[in-house]
Amino acid sequence: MDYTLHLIVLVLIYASLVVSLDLLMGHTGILSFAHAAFYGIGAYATASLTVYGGWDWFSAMMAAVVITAAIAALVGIPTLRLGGDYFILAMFGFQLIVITLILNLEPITNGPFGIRNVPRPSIGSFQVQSGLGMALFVAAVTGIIFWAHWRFARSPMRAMLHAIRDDETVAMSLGIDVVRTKILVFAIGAGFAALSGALMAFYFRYVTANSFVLSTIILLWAMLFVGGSCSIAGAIVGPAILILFPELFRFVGGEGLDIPNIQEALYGLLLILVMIFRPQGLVGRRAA
Amino acid sequence: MLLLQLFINGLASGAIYALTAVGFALIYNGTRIFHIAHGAVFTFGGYALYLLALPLGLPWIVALPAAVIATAAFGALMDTLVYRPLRKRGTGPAGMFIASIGALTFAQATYSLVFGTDTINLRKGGLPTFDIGEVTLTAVHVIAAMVALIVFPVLQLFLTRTRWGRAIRALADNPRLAVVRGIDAERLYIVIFALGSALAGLGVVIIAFDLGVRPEMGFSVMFVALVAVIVGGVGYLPGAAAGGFLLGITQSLSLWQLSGRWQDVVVFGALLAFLVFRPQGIFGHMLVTRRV
Repeated sequence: MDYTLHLIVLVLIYASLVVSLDLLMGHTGILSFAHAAFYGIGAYATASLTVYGGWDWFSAMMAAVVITAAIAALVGIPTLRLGGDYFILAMFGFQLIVITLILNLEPITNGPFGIRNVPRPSIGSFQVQSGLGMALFVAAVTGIIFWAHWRFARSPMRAMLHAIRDDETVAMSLGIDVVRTKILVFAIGAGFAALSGALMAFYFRYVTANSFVLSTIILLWAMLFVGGSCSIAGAIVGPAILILFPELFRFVGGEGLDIPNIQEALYGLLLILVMIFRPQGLVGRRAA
Repeated sequence: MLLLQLFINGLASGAIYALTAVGFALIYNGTRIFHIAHGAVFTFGGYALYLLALPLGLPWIVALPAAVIATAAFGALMDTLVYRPLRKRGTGPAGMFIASIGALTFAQATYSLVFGTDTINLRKGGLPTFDIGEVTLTAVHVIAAMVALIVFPVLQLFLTRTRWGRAIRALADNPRLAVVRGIDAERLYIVIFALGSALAGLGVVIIAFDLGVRPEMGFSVMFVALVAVIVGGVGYLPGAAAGGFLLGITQSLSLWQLSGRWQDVVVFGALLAFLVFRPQGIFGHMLVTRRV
C-alpha cells in the first residue's frame, strides 16, 4: 500500500512537471532542454531556504517560484531571440552549467552531498507527516497546476501561443510581440517547474543534483510525447505509463538486471517509436 | 612551457572535436536534421574498434580502418531506420530532433547493457613519445594532427570537385530544386550520413586508441562539437573545423587556471557568449544560410 502510494505521488509530481513542459513545448513550440534545470533550481531553492535560511515552507516555495522565473527570464532574454537549433544548444549549455554550479556552490547547495532534512509542510499548527498526508498535499498542488493549465487551455492566450508555435512570421504580422511573449511564457513555465521542484523537495525531504540531470529531461520528453502534447489527459497518461511500466520488471525477477539502463533504453526506444508511429501521442490529437 | 604543452594537448583534442563537428555539420547542412545521435554513432566506432581489435584479434592496421567503415555504416543505418520513416511521414524538424534524442538515449543505454559502464582500455603500456625541448608529443598527438591535415582538404576537394560532392551541396542549398534536377535525394542522404559518420569514426578511433572506450564518451565530444559548429559559423564546414580546434585549445588552456570540473562551464560559457554577441560565428556572414 505504501509503495503504491509512493508510485502515485511520483506520477503526480512528474505529471505536474509535464504540464509546464507542455506549455513550453506543446503550446508555444519552445524546445526547452533546460526544464530539468528549472525543476532543480526550484527544488534547491526550496530546500536551501528552509534548511539553511530557516524560512517556513510556503514562503520558501513561493520564493523558489519567483527566483526560478526570474532566472528563466534572464536566460530567455538573449536566447529566445535565436532560431530553434541555437536555442536548443543554449539551453543544453545552461543545463550543464546549472548542474556544475549545484555541485560546486557548497555554501548554498552542499555540493555533491545534497541537502537533507527538508521540513514537511504545515498548515496552521497541523504538520503534514504521514505518507497519505503528503500524497494529498502533492495531489492538491498538482491539482492547482492542472486547473491553471485547464484555464489557460480555454483562454485566448492559447490561440496566441499556437500562432507563435505554428508560424512566427504570421504571428508577428498579426501584431503579436513574439519574443516578449516567448520570454513571458518561458518564465511562467519555469516558475511552474520550480513548483514541481518544491513538491519533490517536500516529498523526499532530500535534494541531490542527480535528480535534475539530462536523463531527467529525456524522461520528461518521453512522458510528454508518449502521452501526447497539447493534451491535459496526455500529461497524466504519459507519466503514469513511464513510471508504472518499469515496475513490471520487479515482478519478472529483476534482480541482477541493470534496471536503470534498461529503463533508459526503453525511454529512447519509446521516443523513436512514438515519433514514427503515433506522433500525436497515445491520447493527444496534435502531432509533434 | 606548461602553456605550450597545454596548447599542444588542446590541438590534439581539438582535432577530434573538429572531425566530429565537421561530420555533424555535413549532415546538418545536407539533411537539416539536428542529428544529436551523432554522439551515439561516435561511440559505436569506439566499440567497433574494441570488438575488431581485441576479441577478434585483428591487427591495428586492419582494425582501425574497419572501425571507421563500421561507423559510417552505422550512421547510414540510423538514417534508414529512424529518419527515413519520419521523412516519409513529413515530420518537421522538432519531431526529427525528438527521435534523434531517442536514438541517442537508446544507443547509449544499449552500449552500457552490452559492454558495461566501465572504461575498456584498448592498449597496454604507454605510447611512443617524442620530446622536443620541454614539450612531449605522443604518437596520438601526431596522428590526430596528420589525420586532420589530410582529411579536411580532401573533403573540401570532394565537395567542390566531384559529381557527388556537388550533388550534396545542391541538396543542401535547395532540396526541391536538386530533386527536380534529377538528384536521388534518398540515396544521397545515405551517402551524407555515411560520410559524416565516417568523419566521427576517424575521430573516435584516435581517442579510443588513446583513452579507451566508455558508453557516454560520444556524448561529451558531441556537445563540444555542436558548440564548435556554432562558434565557427553554421553552414560553413571549415568554420566548424576551426571551431573544434579553438574549443579544444581553450578547454586545455583553461586547465592552467581552473580545475577540470569547470571544463564544461568554459565550453558552454563560450557558447552562450557567442550566441549573445556573435550568433553567426567567427566566419559566418548570415545567421540562416546553410551551405556545405
